[in-house]
Amino acid sequence: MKHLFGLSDPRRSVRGKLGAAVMLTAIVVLVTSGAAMLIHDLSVYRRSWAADIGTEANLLALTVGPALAFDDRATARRNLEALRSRPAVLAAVLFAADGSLYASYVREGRAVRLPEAPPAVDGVKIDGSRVQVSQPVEFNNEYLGRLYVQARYDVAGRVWAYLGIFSVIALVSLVAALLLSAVLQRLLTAPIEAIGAVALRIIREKDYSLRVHPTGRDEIGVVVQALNRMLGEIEQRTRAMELTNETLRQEMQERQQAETRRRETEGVYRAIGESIDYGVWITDAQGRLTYVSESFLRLLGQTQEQVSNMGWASALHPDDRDATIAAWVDTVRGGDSWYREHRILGVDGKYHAVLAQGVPIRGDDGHIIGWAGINLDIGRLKETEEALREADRRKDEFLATLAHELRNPLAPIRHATLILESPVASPEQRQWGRAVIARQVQHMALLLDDLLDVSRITRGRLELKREVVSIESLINAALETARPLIESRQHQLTLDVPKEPVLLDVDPLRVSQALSNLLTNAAKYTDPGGSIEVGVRRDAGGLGISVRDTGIGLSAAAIPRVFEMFSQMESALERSQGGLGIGLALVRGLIALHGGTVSAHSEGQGKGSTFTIHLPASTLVSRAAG
Amino acid sequence: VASVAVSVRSQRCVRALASLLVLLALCVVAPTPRAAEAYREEAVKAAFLHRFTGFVEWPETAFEGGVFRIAVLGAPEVRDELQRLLADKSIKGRPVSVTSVADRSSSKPQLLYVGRGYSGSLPRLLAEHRGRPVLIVTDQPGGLEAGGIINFLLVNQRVRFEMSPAPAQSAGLHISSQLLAVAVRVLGGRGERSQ
Repeated sequence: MKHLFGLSDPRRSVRGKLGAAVMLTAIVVLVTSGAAMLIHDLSVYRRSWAADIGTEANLLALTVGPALAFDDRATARRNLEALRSRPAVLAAVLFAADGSLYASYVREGRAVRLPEAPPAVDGVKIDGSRVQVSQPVEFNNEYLGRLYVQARYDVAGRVWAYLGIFSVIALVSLVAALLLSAVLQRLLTAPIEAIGAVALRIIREKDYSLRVHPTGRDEIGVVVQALNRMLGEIEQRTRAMELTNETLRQEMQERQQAETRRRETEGVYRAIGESIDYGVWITDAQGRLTYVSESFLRLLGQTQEQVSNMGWASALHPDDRDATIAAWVDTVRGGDSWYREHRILGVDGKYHAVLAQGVPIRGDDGHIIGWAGINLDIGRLKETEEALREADRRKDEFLATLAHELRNPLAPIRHATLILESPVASPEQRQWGRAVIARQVQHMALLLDDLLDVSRITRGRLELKREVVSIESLINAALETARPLIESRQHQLTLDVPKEPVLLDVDPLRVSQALSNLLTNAAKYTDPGGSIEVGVRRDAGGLGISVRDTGIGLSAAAIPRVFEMFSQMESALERSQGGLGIGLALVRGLIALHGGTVSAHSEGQGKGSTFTIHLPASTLVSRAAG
Repeated sequence: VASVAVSVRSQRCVRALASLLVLLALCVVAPTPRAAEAYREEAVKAAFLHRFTGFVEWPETAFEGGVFRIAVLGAPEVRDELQRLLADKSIKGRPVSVTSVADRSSSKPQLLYVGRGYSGSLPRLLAEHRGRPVLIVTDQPGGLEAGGIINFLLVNQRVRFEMSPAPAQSAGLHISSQLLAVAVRVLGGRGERSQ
């Protein structure tokens, strides 16, 4: 009975279980019905046996009645002897009316204990394997005596016979059940196996459109229907899920694309921010910086966190700080735009002029969620502004100088004119007067020529007329112009020119003009009796022509600006020599037209100065070619 | 057997009364161990006479005045025993009258017992009743030959009887085979049985 014939054994096949179930059922039915029938049969047997023996005794009592009535013992004995034909009856005793034993019969070969007195009670009594009957003998309402009959009650034999029949029936019916179940199992297991096969295919192929072929309307048919309906549901859901997945995938893709675009956009904005000095800034609704560009952080030498914690305010110039912070608080409170210039202390220790400019950012509901803007580096702007202002100032100065320079010659000319008109003027005086006028006019002409040239150079209208000339001729042409001033100031002139001839392919007028300008300057800014030295040196890069004087010299600060327009020394107006301050600028422009450069050198104020024109090698003409 | 069973069953209705009578009869008939020594022949005969009526059927025409008449001749003791025995009993559903032989002319008994003390001619007496429904019981050798239906005799000191069914048949009486089965001898039957 372990596992109830294997019915609950999970490894056992349905077919096996069905077989076991059929056998078990058959056995239970057989045993139960057999037992019930045995009980019923025994009960019926007992009753019929009792009735049988009772009837026998009853008949015997009737038969023996007359013998007893007429006291015929021999007949009585003969009557009892008739029981010999009933093997089941073991003994019979006839008692007379007075209770004495009248006649008796005992089956041969049986030892039966006979009652000595008639049993008092009538009827049939079954007691173990014996049936005892006590029957009164009456005739014509007269009690004649009592008959006692004892018979076998063979219940064990009955049971054994019954069991024998039962065993045969059980064996036959079990074999029949086994054969029948083997046939019927096919009917049951075939649809189940079909279901299993379809289920396995579905698991393997994930094809939810498969269906089990319906078999009928029984329980398996119901299972098949339910399974098919379930498969339909699964198929539908799978399709819906795939659809959802596809939608989700697309959404994900779109989101990723959007994210990529957003990141690209952010990168673009960041790049824009980084391309601006000093980038962009973003604050929250409370005005706290949440983001500033790297360039601004680099300027301050602070981290993003430090800047967010008002680090930018601590870097403000002390003069700007309180006002700027107050203005920012007002701006945040009022939700206004921001536009303010201030100076910020950089990590380099210098103050940087910065223009911060921004507008509030509004959310969908119109509330301000922060501010965003840019930090503009306005340092160069400031410098340019300063430079423009300086240039303007120099222009004013230049105008004053020009007016002065143009006014200066007029006084001697007017004086000379008065002398010439005077009738009392001597011829010497008249000669002096003409010479004065001529000199002053030339001076003015030179001045105006210089101005025109500078103007032409700056406007790019000057064209060079190149020809091959020797360096000596250029120097001589320059000295021709400068010599009167040099001699008038009694300077000593020294020339240091190489022995071998040097030929140049330049515009001789312009180079000598530049050279004469340097010589005039040297003569002008050297106290009388000074010394001027002109030197020519060939080197790898070309040819250097230097003019050295023992004049007032230049301060180190003045050297870089000496070639700029209108940058005449401040004291120029006070000096008798005067000048427009355009000479050196003109020199630089002329030499630059030839691709050369001009440089100034001085040991310091009062220590003289050296100006050097450097012409490139391309202007040198080799002797062979010449 | 079936008819007997039916007759037995039909008598069940009067069983309660009958059992009382039986007990009374037993007091007289049934020999107690002590009374067995004094086996009273007359009492046994009276009881046998009564019992005979149970095995015999009379035609309905036999009865006159609704009374079962028993005539006893030559046996006053038996007559007395009968009178006592049947004092409050009925036979075939009728009251019983036990009479002496003196008024034979006027009476038509259903049972006639002729004892040993009868002095007259038995054949002549019986001839008077021949052909009439009367059960004739005699108590002398040759009683059957004289025309009696039942005749008492003593076997081993015990009362037995022999029978002759032929006159009974001609008299219109029907005698049960059971009675024949316990008779010592049946005249004209299947040979004589000897004790």
